[in-house]
Amino acid sequence: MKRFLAVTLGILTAIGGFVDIGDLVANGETGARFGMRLAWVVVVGVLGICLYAEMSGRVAAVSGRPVFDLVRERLGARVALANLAGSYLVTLLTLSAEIGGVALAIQLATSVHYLLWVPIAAFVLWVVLWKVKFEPMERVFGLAGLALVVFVVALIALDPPWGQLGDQIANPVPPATEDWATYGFFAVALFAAAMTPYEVFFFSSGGVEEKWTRRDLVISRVNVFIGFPLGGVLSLAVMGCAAVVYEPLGVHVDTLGQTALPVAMAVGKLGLVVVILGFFAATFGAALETGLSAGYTVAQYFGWQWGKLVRPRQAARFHTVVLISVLLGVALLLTTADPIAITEYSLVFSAVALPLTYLPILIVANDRDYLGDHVNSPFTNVLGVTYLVIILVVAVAAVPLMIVTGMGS
Amino acid sequence: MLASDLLGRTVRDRAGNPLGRVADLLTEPDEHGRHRVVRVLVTPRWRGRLLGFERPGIQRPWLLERISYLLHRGTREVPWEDVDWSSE
Amino acid sequence: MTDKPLRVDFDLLDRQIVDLDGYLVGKVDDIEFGTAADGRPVVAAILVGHHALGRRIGGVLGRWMAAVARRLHTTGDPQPLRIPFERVAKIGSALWLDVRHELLDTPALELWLRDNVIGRIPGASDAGQ
Repeated sequence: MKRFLAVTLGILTAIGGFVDIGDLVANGETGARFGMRLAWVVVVGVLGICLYAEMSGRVAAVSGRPVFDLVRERLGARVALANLAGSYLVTLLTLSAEIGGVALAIQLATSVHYLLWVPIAAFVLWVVLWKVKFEPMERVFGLAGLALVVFVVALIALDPPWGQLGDQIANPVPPATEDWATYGFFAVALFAAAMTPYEVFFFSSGGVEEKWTRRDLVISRVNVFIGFPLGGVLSLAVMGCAAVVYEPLGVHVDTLGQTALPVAMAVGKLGLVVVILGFFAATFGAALETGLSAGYTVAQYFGWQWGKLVRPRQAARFHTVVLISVLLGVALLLTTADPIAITEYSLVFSAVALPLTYLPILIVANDRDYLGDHVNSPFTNVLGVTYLVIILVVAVAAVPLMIVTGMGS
Repeated sequence: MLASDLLGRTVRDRAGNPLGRVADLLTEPDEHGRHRVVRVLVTPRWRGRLLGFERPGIQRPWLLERISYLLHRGTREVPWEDVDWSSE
Repeated sequence: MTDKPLRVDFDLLDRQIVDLDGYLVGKVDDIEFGTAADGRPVVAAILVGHHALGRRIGGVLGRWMAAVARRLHTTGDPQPLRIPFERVAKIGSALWLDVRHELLDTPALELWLRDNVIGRIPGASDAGQ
């Protein structure tokens, strides 16, 4: 029973934890501009994160090595340092965007300007990172993030023209009002929003912290294969709501409030309350994950003691990196940089940084010295290599598409 | 002497023919259990780590192994005593 | 120690070092060789620390990393942490030592941050979670 409960909670947490500011922004925007014509990218992205997280979870459980350990030992000190610089920067940008998202969610609830909330949100974030235990932290925010299920309710309540949405899914080409370049750019953003490296840094490091062994492989797999796809359903519901309400009017979605509006229209004030709670929990939970991931990447590259299982005094360098990262994230927001724009940049650069983090995992997941009989099956390898190609194409295309389309505008 | 002094160096054989860059140093334990370098892995072009595909035995995924093989073609092990370390 | 053949670059360099209690000591940043009677190099010790890593990375960044590491040392001659190879009990996905990290020098950066930053925040000595 206890095991069953652990699995259930893990799944629920994964659903709530999958959706973050990147998904909310990217799915809302694409829904409004492309209807459901990019929905397939979410499916491709969710399958990709399942594959990537399953491999890294398996390696973590069997060998006890988290992702960035493997990056350094497979790529060597020099290439891994370049990778560290890129991954840390992306994680930092995402952290900043998530803190901004928390502040924007509170602004929606209070009508007080988000910049006033940024320092408060960041301070509370840091206190939680410093004091609160790993499991309750994960569960409280993951479960509260489930409030975003209200998007599914709203989509049904809006009673959309299902046939038309179905046609859009079946015809994955840009609508008359958009060209192929912007279509490509938003495809990259959606893919990156689903396959964010920090999720895997966090997932594998969390597995090591919870002292996973071979016996926990089932828990890891069930979490991945049920949690992430259901999280993908939430993402598609966000996209669907925006598609139904905004696409016919040709309205661009560029605030969090606009993303929430369809829920208010369909379910009323109570729905709005639930949505704001969901936004808050999802972005706060993701801020915790990115804050820790910033520390994980640096500490695991240099081999420092990291994690929440030891006294903070014993992991002084790790906790210093976490603290500095939160401060840098706040500083970036206080330059009045738009959190939504920060989110978009973080998505583009995380697409660029992904291949060098994915490749070592794919290789180690095949290494018998590490995994014994738990190496990838031939089927997993076909998928794994296919995704390596997809990830490479997306990484190469990301920056040119960003420049050509002017961030998709 | 440090590993970083040896790895990455361009070396020749005793006859003066170029061998390529040093990619790895292979050790075997002697009677006291001390690890002595017995062979040197040299590669014609590559700098940096070879990802593990250079080890004997079947490595997967197949496609990556082929790519790695093509990129690092000519990689071979040379006995320690056949390597001339004097820099040109 | 292990009696299997080793690949210095692949099996040793850049691997995680773990002490007897599972504490993370650092990465294998370089390897020091001694010389056998027949002139072959013999693996003698593991070097850990930003000086060794900076030296290996080279270039401006490497020099800068080594310089920061030297500056942080408050006592004596700044040297990387040197762990004799006999102290390595097992080699696998990490290098496991047969000693506790308290017996090794604590890295200067860790010490400085513990005393001046993290140690001063309330709750720094609370048991881990």
